Amino acid sequence: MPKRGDGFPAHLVATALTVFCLAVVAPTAAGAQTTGFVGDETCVTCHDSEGKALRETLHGKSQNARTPAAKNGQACETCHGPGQKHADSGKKEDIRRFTALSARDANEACLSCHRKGDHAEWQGSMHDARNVSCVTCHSVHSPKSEKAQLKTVTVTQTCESCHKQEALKIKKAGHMPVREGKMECTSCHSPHGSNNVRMLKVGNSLNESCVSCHTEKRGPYLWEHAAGRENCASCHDPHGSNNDRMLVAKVPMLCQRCHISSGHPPVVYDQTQLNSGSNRVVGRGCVNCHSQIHGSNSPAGYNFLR
Amino acid sequence: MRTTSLMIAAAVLLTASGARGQDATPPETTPTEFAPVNQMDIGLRGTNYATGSDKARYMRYQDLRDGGTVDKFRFSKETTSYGVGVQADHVGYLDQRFFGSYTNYGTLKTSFEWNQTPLFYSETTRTLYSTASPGVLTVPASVQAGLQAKTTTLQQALNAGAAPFDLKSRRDVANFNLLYTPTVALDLNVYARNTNRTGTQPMSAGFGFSGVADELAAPVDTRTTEFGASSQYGGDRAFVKLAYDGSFFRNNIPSLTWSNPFRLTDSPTLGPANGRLSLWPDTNQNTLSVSGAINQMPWHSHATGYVSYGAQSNNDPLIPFTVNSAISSPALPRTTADVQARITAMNYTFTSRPTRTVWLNARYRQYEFDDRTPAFLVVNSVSYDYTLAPGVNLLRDPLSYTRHTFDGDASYSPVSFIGVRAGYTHEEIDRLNRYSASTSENIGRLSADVTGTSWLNVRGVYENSKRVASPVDPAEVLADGEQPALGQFDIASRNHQRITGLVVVTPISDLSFNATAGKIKDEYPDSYFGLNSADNNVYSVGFDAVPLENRVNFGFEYGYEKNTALQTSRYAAHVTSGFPPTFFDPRADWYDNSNDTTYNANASVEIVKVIPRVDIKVGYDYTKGQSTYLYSLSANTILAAPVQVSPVLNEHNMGTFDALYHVSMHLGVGFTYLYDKYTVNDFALGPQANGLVPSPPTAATPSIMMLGYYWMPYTANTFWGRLSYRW
Repeated sequence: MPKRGDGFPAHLVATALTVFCLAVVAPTAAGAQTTGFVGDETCVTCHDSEGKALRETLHGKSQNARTPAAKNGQACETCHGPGQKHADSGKKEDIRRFTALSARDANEACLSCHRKGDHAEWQGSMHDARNVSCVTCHSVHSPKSEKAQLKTVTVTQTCESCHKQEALKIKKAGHMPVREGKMECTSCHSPHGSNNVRMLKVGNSLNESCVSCHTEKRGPYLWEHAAGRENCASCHDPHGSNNDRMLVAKVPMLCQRCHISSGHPPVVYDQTQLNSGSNRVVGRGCVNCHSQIHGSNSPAGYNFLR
Repeated sequence: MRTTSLMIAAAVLLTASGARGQDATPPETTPTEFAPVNQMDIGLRGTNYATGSDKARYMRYQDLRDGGTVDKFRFSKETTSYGVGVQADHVGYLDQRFFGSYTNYGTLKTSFEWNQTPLFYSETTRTLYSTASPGVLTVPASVQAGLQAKTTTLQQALNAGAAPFDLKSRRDVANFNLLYTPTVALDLNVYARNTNRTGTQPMSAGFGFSGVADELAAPVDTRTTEFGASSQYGGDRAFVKLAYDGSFFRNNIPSLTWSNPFRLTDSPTLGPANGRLSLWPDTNQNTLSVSGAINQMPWHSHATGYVSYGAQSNNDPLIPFTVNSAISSPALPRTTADVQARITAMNYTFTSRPTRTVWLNARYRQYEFDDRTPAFLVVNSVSYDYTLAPGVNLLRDPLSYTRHTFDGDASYSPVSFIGVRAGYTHEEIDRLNRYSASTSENIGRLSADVTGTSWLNVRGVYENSKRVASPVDPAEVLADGEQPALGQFDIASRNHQRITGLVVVTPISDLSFNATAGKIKDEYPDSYFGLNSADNNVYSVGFDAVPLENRVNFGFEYGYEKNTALQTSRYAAHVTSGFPPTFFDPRADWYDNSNDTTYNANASVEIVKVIPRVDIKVGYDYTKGQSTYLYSLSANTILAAPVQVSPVLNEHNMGTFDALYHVSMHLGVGFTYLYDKYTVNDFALGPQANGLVPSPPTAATPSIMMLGYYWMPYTANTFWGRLSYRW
């Protein structure tokens, strides 16, 4: 009679994994620490305004067991570390000050809680690689924004403090409704990192991010436009452009970067052509006829004419 | 058996202890209420336009029509146990937004938003077409008969019969989100989003080389429904997340049929009475993903993993090859599109900080787009609904591709406020049915960041990459009628260099100066035809001053960006067989040197209660864009000298003045003045562009019938008075 357990001991592995996972993920009890900790009452003796401001933010909602305020009267010291030495000496060097720490040291405090969900990909992200600190953008005690506790009133103001080029592009004639307040940088990007390229928030590729809103362009189509299938940014500048439809160059010149052949693609569309009212340059140029340029579902649409 | 039982018992015990930790009771408090800050603005708005102003372009994504306004409604109530928020903006207008949220701290977070975004194209558009039924646009039969019999001209018909209409569309988004946290370690999230897009948009279609391209007000009536759910379980040490995302696009108008103004009846040789094209098909996308992370490993190490698998499909019924009844429409290869794709994505990272000064990161990313559509062979087709195109013999090319990307970075911080980083990326992309079957790119980068000091912030990065495309088969390119030396810039070999820098100096806490500079240089060494090079230069300088904290601040910023590009082509006339005589003749080469420059300056001043009870904000923004396209020919050219097109100019001036007088702690009286001036000169899209437009007539031999949607100037002065109530 064969013994039970012949072959791969899947049941043992499964049990071991279960034990491991439960042990690993079981959080420590939210008990108060005692060594070197003085408690919130001592902190707000001098820092009353910070204490009041904290209570008005999510960090101060003690009902949430994940917040600093849930830590039995040690809301301040959960982030700033033990305060005994600072309380005794009054010196600012004797307490953890985020503006005085290196970016990664400061971030470690925040990441001790903010390491899931939208923040799961922070480590290794572009901002992490460039020594951006959480406190570069966020303020725990004196935020100015309606959400996300930013140091500025809007998300765009925060981002454009470093990303000047993109801030300039948003003001160009062809733009998304960012300056009108209908979109902001975080409509597309996740500043805390993401699984997508360019810290894009949605999807697994640049195109998947774009078509999350422009879903009519998603396809897949019966006839695909090769340049657009792989990368919308081959033709469009998502931050802004001086051209119609946010194209990186005017039509037909843009199309002529890939289409040479013979006939009308390699024609010089100069003022002479304009004067004759050529529909290859007036209006929307090539797209006057090739209107299904993102792809066609018509059996006769292999040239995107139908 | 005994071992298994013991392990299960141990698991239960550990779970129990963990559960006790998770359910640790927070300190006892009785719910109390904090002072809420609520607000609502009620006002009246009016705009004065200069004669001939393009009101639609002024508004574009906003509804700034004259009338009463209810704006910036904010209501919130917070206690120690829950918070409620309600917001409303631009109530009653096409760009209105409503938002509500409820948070039970530590347990539940839910929100709902309704957001409308209009897109105003034009209020001066006119069209001969009317909507007979959804997706069917017709011109009067009398017009078709007259044009067919040549008893009238298209311009005459337009002048007499084109009806005015507003060209606009709107996007309405309803967004629901719920996050439930039954335990500290478990997050359950569901979301649902519905996006409706309705209205019209400009879309042109033609009837062949000898016909007129008709610019139509294409109807838009689409819906995208998305929903998803995820569960994330974990704590400080690790977490696992499972997620599903579904997206379903539906188009209520799958095709567009429009009258041919020149034909009342179908003809097999003289053209159709109607044309028909396929609009965006219904599509589905379903994605499953699993991700996780392990934290608190030795040396401050952290690892994440992400895998997703998705399926896209489009199975719309296919329209016939033609709507021209005088042509025998070829048999369809199949009755539905049956287009399918599978998408696999992975992302793995490992980050470590073995010492306080050293940081290491490695990432591997893979993305595969696998087009699994069954073969679709078109033997015979129809061109423009006009003529039968026999012997096309065109097989659909699936455009599958796989991208592998490896990143490695190492950062060294000798002191806390300095970080220098070196990084390397290698990317391989394999493609199906492109001229280059694969590309391989190596990217090196160096960056330096000085941060964390109160007076100086410096950031700089240099990047150098070389992309090599696999050899192109000249025979394959020639078979398509293309030049073998063509490099399609998205996949061609490319040398890329980028350098950017940012400096912020804050000599005193109330004053900071900033400057940025950047340069990108792209060269395509193997591309004789197509894009040869593209450069980008960008600079900005500015300052911010806060002489009185929370009372006075002002700032100024100036930015400049220049994009240049060089592309090469060769003129060759169309021939019915073989290659044109100039196809291989370099004397027919021509070049286009494009230059796109943007200047921007903006200034702002904010003065808060320096004048008692008065808040003042003043701002001015100036943006100018100028684009030139300069044609040149080869030294021994056989082509006629080109007549250069005029530069394209966009210039935007916008000034705002806002003052709020606080009558009391609860009531304020406000006034806003907005000055907005836009000037434009566009050879293709400005009013001077040639084309058939409804009155007045513009062109002698036009080949496109336009709606009259152009880039037009405007000058607008908007005045807005409001009462602002706070409670």
